[in-house]
Amino acid sequence: MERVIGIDLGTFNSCVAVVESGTPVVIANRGGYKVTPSMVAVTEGGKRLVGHIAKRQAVTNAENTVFACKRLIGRKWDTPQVKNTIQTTPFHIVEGPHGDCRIKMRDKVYSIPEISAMVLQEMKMVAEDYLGEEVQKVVVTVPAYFNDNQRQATKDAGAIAGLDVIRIINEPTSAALAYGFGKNIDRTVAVFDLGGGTFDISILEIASTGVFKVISTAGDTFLGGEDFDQRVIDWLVEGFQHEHSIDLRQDRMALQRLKDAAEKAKCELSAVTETEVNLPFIISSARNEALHLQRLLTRATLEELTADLVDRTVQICELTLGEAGLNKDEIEDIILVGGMTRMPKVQERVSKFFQRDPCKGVHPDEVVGLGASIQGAALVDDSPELDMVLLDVTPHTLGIMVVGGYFEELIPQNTTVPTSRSKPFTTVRDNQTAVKILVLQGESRRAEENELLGEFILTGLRRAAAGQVEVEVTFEINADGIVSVHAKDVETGKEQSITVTATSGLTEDEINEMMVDASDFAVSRREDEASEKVRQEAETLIAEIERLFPEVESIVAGSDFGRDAIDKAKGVVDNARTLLEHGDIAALQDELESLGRTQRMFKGVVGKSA
Amino acid sequence: MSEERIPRQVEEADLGAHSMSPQEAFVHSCIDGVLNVEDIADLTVLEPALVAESVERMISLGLVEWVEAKVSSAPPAAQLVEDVEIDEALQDKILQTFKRADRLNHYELLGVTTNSDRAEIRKAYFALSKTFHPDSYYGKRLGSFKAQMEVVFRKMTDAYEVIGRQQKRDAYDRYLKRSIVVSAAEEKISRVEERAQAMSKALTRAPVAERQAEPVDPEAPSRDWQPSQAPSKQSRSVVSGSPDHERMQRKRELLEKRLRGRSRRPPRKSEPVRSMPAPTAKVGAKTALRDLTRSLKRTAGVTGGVDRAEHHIETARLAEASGDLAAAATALRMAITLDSSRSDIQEQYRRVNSHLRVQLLDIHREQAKYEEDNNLWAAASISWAKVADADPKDAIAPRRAARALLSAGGDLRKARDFAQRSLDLAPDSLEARLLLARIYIQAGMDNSAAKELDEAAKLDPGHEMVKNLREQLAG
Ligand SMILES: Nc1ncnc2c1ncn2[C@@H]1O[C@H](COP(=O)(O)OP(=O)(O)OP(=O)(O)O)[C@@H](O)[C@H]1O
Ligand SMILES: [Mg+2]
Repeated sequence: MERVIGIDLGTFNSCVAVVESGTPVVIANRGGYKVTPSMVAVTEGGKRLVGHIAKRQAVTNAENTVFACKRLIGRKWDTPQVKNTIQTTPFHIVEGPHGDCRIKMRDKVYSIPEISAMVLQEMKMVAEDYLGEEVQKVVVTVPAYFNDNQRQATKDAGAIAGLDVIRIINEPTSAALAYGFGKNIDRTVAVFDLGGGTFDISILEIASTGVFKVISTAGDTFLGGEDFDQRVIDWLVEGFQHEHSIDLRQDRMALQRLKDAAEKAKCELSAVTETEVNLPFIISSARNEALHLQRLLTRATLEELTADLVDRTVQICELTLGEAGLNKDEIEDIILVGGMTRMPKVQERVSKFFQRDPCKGVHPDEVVGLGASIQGAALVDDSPELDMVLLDVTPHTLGIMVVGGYFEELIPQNTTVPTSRSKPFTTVRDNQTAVKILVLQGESRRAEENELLGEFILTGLRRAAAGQVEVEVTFEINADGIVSVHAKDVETGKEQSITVTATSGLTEDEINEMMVDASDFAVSRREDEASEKVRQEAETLIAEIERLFPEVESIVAGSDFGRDAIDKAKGVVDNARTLLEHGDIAALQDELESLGRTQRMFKGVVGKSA
Repeated sequence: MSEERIPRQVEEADLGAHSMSPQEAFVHSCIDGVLNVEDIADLTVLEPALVAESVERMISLGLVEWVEAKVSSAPPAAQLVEDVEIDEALQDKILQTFKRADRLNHYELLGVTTNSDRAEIRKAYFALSKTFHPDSYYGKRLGSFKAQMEVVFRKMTDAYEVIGRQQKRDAYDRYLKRSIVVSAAEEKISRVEERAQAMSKALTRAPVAERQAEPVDPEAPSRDWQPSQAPSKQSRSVVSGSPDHERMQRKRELLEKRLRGRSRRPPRKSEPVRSMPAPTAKVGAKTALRDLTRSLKRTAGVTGGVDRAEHHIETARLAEASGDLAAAATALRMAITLDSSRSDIQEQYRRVNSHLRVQLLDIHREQAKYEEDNNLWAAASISWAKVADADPKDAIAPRRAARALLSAGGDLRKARDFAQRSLDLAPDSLEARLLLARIYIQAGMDNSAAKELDEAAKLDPGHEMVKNLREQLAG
């Protein structure tokens, strides 16, 4: 049985887990961290950095360090959310060829799935290092409220990363799966997931027989820790502007420092009631004097600045509960997920709303990844302890555009997936050979206010009088929450071909092209790692030889043999240095032996004389 | 609600192979696949319970069978053996459930009862989910079973979503109850004329004195036959010369004639009397007749010679009192058949019938609303059409019928007719105009649509949808 890993591809942090002999475990990265920042950077030398290493250099390389790209995935360039993000990010967001968003780093333009693919690939490697074997299959999580475009783009990211995404599951559902796994409980629970970029709330029924059924779900894919940070940034920027009449947002490095400081302050305020934001030399004044930012932020102020954001999460809870047709007292447990739920105000409001204390003992950062690994194992593993079924719902209403620009509902939101709905279409003109169908997702009565998933064109219809050709179109939502459309001629039973146009997604060719890129990177990254080892070893040896050099020289300089040896050692070190500088790792590898010999000899000389 | 039970003769049964009592033979002769047990009782002047008993016995002999209320499911067609990775028992389960799913109500589909509580329903659904969710067989070859499973799973989920939530369940229960009432009433109504006709026919085959009111065909064969055996003075409780007496007498004569070898069943026409091999019949027709006479006497003793028409009127009275107008109307209709001379029955029948129509109309409206609320557009279009047909002055019903047809993707011509009818009844209705326009647009008849929209714009120039549709048609 092939191994399946679970990846929580977060806005801020990603986490990978796997089920090992029946127990789900989170896999730590090389740094020993269980979560990896979802950050990608390109260095001046064109090197790609992912994770902690990318995060560490973010301030000095702000323009070429991408974070929170999940907020852009599957979104169209021409939307308020994207406009908003452009305003507040230090990296460059540009318009893509399909009306999508792309990111430019060091003169190269990347699609969003490509950036996500880099994070996925990093997580895959974290797992592979741990498992000591190659991994192909993966379950990836997405926010429950993601629409079809966002899900599709996430799947594309998986493909680009060279992974076989066997299932996409919703983050809150995944959390519930981890919560209920092996517990043998019958319970109705609410999962409140406030992460770095998105907010989700799901109400589920958990059955001791291993069935997890989502009753309703709702959320906001643009509400998370980022927005809280932004409030603090705005507050800092406005204060600074008031004092110095300088807009810090204009400076990319200052902006990145502000971001870090704001986030840090926000997190600290979960533990203490006040904290000082201290950013020395944040910018230079017009008269070229260095200016510092120093301000005290209290928990109360933070709560005030973000009150409406917290309000909104509670409103959405209310809505979802109504959709589920349940009363508050029918919710038997609350599961808090996501880093932002550490904020005391959030916990307080949630407890107050549900009139119950949230469950303890669920790790808010790890539970989603764990759930994904459980789902992966449950799918491929037939053993009884993994005999479980996840019944999720579609978060948005699926429909089509009808005359007058209206939206006709086909599959309502919160319908359990997989599901489908057929609808007859009839030709309206004589000899009509094509029918165009606009498929949308959303809750608005007006089609234009909903998300366009694609234009499907039924082609090659039989030539006949108007109304004679009836085509049955089936709209299907699979277990990933991804929409597909099929059509067949009612009379002939012939499958009708469908062309999809006007989606913001990547074409197959593009995905293939990007795939090559990413796997090249994977290879080079692996090589990088090997050469890094060689480099480090060489550097250590050289440093050691050089450290011993004066002592050895003073001991053996008297003898001819000694002078010879010292010259030889000098030659070895110089050669190694040149190779190091030129990055000729292969040759350096060969030199390691002589370096080692020299070092041992030096050590021997020093040891004997001591 | 007791189901109406109609016996029918088994075509290929061998009457000669079994022993039947004369009473059974008599009942057998009246079974035509249309008349129900009650009707046969009317015809034979036997107690319905006795008729039922005879029928049951003949069923156990394989001579008679009940007509199924609904067409029973055909035996499973031989399946193509598919190369799939699930065992045969499961394949069979999926196939059977898939085939039956459409005919089952939510409770039946989940294998629970209308009394099951939420926990039971939940348990049942969750257990079924594990059987029917394709994820349970991830990575296995499922062939065509996958699609079937998905359909079944979807239907089960729909069912659970309704009966697993108290509010929705209450509404559904009411809907279900009304559906049962309506279909039973409609079934009764649709059957009663057929029954009445069959009854008239049967009665003219055995004309009785009190049937003068009915035109009697002078050429009818029944007129020709003569009692070949003088009836012995029989029932003490039936006064000689009374209508009951005469009826019974004629029936007995009828039976006697049949016992003499004129089977009604063509293939057996030539067969002699021994094809009625009741123990008595073996002894001879005379004995058989004596048995019959005895049984008829017994019957008359029980019924006390009550007029069957009167019996129906009483049934109607009780049914009406209990609110079952369909049963009342049906009983009255049968009473008219049995005694067409009484104008008071006809008057009553008219009265009850018109009440029944009003009642059904109300129920159809309720049903239609439920169907609309739950996106059951095809069903809603049928319900509204019924309302519209029953109440030609109602402008709303045809409009809603048209809308439901449009939403269901149904027959646009019918939708147009309904919308037009609604508009004729309420020419100033913007909604009806708009609907008609939308139907025309859907049908690709842009000019007609534009005309309707122009009219609609006159009614309310600022209407958003009217404006949008006009713009779109113009552009
Ligand atoms: N102690 C804390 N107090 C307040 N906020 C915190 C704390 N710790 C982390 N956070 C915030 O939580 C967010 C990250 O949460 P998390 O890692 O769950 O997000 P994510 O899974 O990457 O995002 P998403 O699920 O939205 O895609 C950040 O905004 C971070 O600032
Ligand atoms: Mg998360």
